Amino acid sequence: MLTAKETTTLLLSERLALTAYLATVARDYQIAEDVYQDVCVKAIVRREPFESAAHLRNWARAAGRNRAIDLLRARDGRYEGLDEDVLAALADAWPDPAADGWGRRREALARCMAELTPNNREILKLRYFEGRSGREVAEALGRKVETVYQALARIHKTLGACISLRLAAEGNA
Amino acid sequence: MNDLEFLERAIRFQDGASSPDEAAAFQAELRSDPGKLRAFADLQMQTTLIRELTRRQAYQREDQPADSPRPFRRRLPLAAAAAALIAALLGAALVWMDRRPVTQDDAVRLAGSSRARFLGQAVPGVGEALERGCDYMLTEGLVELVFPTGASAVLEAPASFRVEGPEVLALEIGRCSVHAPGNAAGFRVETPATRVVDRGTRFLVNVHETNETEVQVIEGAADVYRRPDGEAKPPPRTRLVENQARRFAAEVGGATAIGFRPELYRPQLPDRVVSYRAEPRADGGAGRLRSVTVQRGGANQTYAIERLIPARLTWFRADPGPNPNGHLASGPALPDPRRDLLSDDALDTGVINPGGSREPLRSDPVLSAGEEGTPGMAVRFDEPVVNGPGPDVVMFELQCLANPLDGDAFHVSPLSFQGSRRTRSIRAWDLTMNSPEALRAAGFDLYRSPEPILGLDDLESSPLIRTRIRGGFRTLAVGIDLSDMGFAEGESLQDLFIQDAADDEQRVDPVMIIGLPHGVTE
Repeated sequence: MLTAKETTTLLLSERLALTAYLATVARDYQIAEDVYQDVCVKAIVRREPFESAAHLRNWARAAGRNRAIDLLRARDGRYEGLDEDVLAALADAWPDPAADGWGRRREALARCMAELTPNNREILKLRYFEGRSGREVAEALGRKVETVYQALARIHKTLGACISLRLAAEGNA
Repeated sequence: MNDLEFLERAIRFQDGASSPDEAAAFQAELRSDPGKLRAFADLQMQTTLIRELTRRQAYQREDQPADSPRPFRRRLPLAAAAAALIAALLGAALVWMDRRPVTQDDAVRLAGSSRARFLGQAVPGVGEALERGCDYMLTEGLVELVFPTGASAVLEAPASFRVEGPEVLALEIGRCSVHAPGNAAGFRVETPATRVVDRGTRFLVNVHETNETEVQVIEGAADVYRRPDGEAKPPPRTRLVENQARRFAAEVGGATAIGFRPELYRPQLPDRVVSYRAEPRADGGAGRLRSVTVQRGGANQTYAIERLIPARLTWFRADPGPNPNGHLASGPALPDPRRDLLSDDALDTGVINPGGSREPLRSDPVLSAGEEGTPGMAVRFDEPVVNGPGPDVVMFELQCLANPLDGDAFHVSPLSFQGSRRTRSIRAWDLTMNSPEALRAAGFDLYRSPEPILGLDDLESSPLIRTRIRGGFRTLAVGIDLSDMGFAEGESLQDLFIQDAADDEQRVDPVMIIGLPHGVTE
């Protein structure tokens, strides 16, 4: 059984992974962050303790998924994201930040981002920091929407390859 | 994450840019191929990390403070409700900790905070003692703690920490920069895997989610011990000296040398508006400004109102159409001219809701009535404001819980874009709705016009409907560094142009804009 302290610590240490999953459900980071807070409250005030970290993780993903979908239905009258069977499969396949070395991946990613061209960094800033859609990024940069999506895909691929190289080099050091 | 076309499909889907057929095909792809399902999860994790890193990097750069756009504003009632719920429930839920009483002499206090938010708790005020044994979970921003021995620690979100004694900080997760001067030698940071003992130094401790601990010594030396694992023998010690960095695995094992990165060490909180003082009105809310304290070049400077340089409104144009929230905040009577509401010394009067633009200005604004006039507001300082270290101008705004908690985003531009002058976009204020230093505003009267306000003449002459606002507002503040607008150190400026960033339905609500004097402090 997890103690209340272990529950809280695990929720904090898995904030990014859980937020990433909830953002996949909601396709909106602001909603994902709100739902994460909501899930934290529900987890901490829950009467029955969690049996294990896996139990808490699975519960948080399911509770957060349902909450995000409810919020979007209340806001938009419908939910247009991934179907629930795909979301459930994704929850099962979601990376375990500790076991999958995401702490080191984050460090590597920071260095890889520093190596991007200024143009690519600008695209990332507009898309992920300022929260603009691909269309809005295209408008800001005076480019075609298709070009922006292609550029984003290329940047993600480049960063993924760079991270793998850095982790491999670190492992061989 | 190698299939470029799959990545593009995934990004388009998450952006809501796929057609119904494309969306269905993408989901079918995920159902039929576990490899792609996993690749999609990895992409989403990577996207979230990129978002986190871009926010953190902007936040860390002193020449480019945090911009944190929040385009979806309908969240606020939920956010407010969640915050209140968390405060009420989590506070009670965290009682498992050992909370011994702390005497005044051995209290560890908050020396300052910058855009900080704690999970489930209010941010303590400056000088307030932290509760010993209480887990503090910093989810946004920075805090600085000062220990009775003289040591100080700057913690960066996300971090989970607690104070365990007058010279002991426990860091469960996150990054912490420690400065322990000579008489604080022996100060230590406990992490899940190590104990880092200061030997008169500056060092950085970074604890990952995996409990790995990285230690970087900037000056002096630090001893790193493995946490005892239940065996009787003393834990092994590693001494690190200046310019050395090691990573300590969560499990028993050797330390790994890692790249020394002194740039990660944060000696202090960023320059910012620290606090302000105001005379209370009859209802207890903040009225006339008396002084403002600003960290400039690393040192706190307090300026009395008499020393501050007022700014007067020289141009105002709202967005097209009448604004339901009005453009004037005042007392029961309006001054003549009305524009003086911005330049008086009151924090509960102002000229609010100027026009906005999502795109920051890149050329000189047009200050003339008619179609070509640029939405926004211009002010002229009574005397030139000289670009010194840190913030040179301070802006205050009225904000309520139903508005963005970090303050309304806005652009600030020079009137003339000569040379390298540029617009600075500010998306998070120094004193936000979460800051204990942001004082409760006094009640005020809101004046709304049924007609659009397209120039100063409209502002001065339009018919008005008055509504009394009794409470629920706070006065936020933010510092503007002229260096961020392309001004060189020592250069001066006399006019500013302010535009709302038009990232939501709310518009910025300035109640005072003041210039800071050059080199004059109390």
